[in-house]
Amino acid sequence: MLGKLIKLRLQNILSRTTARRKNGKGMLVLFALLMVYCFGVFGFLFYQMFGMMAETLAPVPPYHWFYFAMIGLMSFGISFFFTAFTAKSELFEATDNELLLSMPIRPRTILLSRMAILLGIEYLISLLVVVPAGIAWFRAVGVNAAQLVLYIVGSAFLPLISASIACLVGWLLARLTARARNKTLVTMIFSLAFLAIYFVVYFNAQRYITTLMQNYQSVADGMMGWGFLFFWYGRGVAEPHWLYFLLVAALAFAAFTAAFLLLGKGFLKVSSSENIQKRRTGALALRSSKLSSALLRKEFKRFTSSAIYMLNCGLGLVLMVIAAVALVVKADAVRELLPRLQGMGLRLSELDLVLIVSIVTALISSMNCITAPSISLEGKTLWILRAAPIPSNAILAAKLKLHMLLCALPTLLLSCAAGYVLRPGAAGWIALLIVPQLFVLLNGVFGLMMNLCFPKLDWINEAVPIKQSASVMLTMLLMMAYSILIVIGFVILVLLNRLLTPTAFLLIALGVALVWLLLSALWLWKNGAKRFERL
Amino acid sequence: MLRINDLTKHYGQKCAVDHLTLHIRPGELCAFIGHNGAGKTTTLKACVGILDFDGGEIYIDGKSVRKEPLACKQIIAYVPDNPDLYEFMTADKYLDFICDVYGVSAQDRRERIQKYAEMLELENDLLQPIASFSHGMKQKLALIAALAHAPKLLIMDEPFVGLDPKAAHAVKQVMHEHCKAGGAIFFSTHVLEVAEKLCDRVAIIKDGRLIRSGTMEEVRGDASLEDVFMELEDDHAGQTD
Repeated sequence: MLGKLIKLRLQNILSRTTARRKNGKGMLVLFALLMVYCFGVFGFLFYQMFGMMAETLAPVPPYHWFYFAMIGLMSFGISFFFTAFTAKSELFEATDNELLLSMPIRPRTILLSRMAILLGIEYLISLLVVVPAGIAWFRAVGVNAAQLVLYIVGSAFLPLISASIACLVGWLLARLTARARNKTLVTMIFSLAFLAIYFVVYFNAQRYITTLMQNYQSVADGMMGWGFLFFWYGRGVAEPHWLYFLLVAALAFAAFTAAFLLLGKGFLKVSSSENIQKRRTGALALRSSKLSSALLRKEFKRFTSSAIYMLNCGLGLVLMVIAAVALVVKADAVRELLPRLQGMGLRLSELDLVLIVSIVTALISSMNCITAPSISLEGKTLWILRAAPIPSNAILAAKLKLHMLLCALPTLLLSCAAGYVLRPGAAGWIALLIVPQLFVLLNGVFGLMMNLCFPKLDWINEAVPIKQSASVMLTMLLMMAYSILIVIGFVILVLLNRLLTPTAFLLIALGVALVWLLLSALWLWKNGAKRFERL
Repeated sequence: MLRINDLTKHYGQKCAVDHLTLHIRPGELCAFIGHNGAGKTTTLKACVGILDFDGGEIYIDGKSVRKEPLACKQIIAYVPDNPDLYEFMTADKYLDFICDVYGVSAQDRRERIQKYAEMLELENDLLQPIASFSHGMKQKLALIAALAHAPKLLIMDEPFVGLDPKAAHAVKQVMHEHCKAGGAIFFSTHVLEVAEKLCDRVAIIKDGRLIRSGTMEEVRGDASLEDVFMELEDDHAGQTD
């Protein structure tokens, strides 16, 4: 039964469902592409980071364990960080929980199947650290067969612990939000707190690593106490020390079993959605409005009612506001940027800098992919729109309009902040105001197009269309790929080979984006309604 | 009001609806009965315009569902078998949304919503989130939403499933009122007693084919609808064997 439940869950994650096509091959390819991308970006970052550590620690054999302890700590932290909220939705908020609980299946079997999926996600995330860190180490010190085997086997233990803790945090969050009047708000607050921690660590990572390497002896001594788990893991793998290795294994299995037994007791209660919200009272207040306003209001309500939707597809809105404030606060430092770049031999004019900033602003705004899951999110309620006398184009327009309304203002704010700092001429202001809005529109139109091409309407957990669907992945991946291409192109064609002037290159990049936008819009105009009606 | 001519729909190799022809006039209440998988829901969805079909034509009040889908949808209402509604809304906001979509004036919507909410005993729950509703409450809300724009044709898929006896009685009353006022209703049901007592027309479908239709008297004669239905099912099974 456990195997069947896991298979069912995996099928739900991997399947792409339309009336016409029911194979998951496309989705698998996309997952593979996403994995390659993540491994490329994160792998490079972690390889650099651990490469620095390996250089420092390789000549000091008594502290070899510290290197592996740091791998353990980093892998543990990252896995836990990225799965705490997934644990909440995966374990306790799946819409098929009640159906499964009504069947002659033990609640613990359902729980274990969910925990197994979460563990799988933990393994995938931990690989982002373990693989590049391992390569960095074995390149620095050479391959030791025993150490390599223990490293591979030992790496399977730590995710068991991080998964256990993530499950417990997920349970706690599910309990807290179940009792809260405004679940979305509570979830948002917790999520933003998590993200704040993430960004603080991310932006200070370099400084932390440098400090760590300067003081590794004292940190290592401390780790023997507070970080005994990682100390055992480090010694177990590095020396190799079998006792420590077995201790970590025992602790990992014990933690997972304990979490499973503990959560098993309350699984039925938490997952069977006890609704203790207060009843709203008052007079019935009905008000009429135009069709377009009603559709837009419905889209807005859909967006704001889901913390997972807001956080995954609208986080850029918050970041843009923060970036705008940061730009104004650090205005002097930014103004000094151009002379400093020119001092480094880069032939950049003021307009070039403004164009670069406008494209950076545009790329930040591309983080918001509100339209990409918007059709999938209709799910089983799609019949309401389909049965109503609403032109399909009006439905698609409402989704796009919400994207534009939500994204345009923060983008404009960031553009104005950049303008205030850089004080460009008329051409610069035009670039700052128009280029980012062009990307906002591109993201909205392209996201909608992708969702029409890759709809996912049979989800049982709204995290699936938002976080694991082809449309969101493709929209984000292609936007990111384009931004990476711009950076690479700028470095190769402008900075290194001077084949193009910065302005010419950036205008070409903008032209490509414009063509992309026009093609997407044309596709949407010609095929959007037809596709929607065939869903 | 509803004219289905030679409707055909395939799902891959399987023929779900096979050259089905059926007419329902204004004021008629027509039950659509058949075994599970007979093609009832497919037919209803095709009539509502949410499922494309391979052959034939469907006219609502003289307008083609294929050629003028919006004009048809404007005068019909659909209540599905499983009322999946916007759980992120409260019931009043959902009704407001539906009324906005159909362009119902503020006064009309207030009057109709109050009337049907009272009939179905949902008036005290209209301010609550739909997510907190039971299946029956959602079914009632879907029905109020369907009636809020005073449709000429009401298409319902198993409307009595999940309703308590009192609500089911109220729904029957609403259906009668609707037809008395000149509207038409086409609904599927497995409850033959309800169909027999409530409807003046009945259509029986088996394996996608309409095997009998007409007034209740024509179809059942002196026997009960259940007897006729079982007999037809057996006869048809014999023929297909």
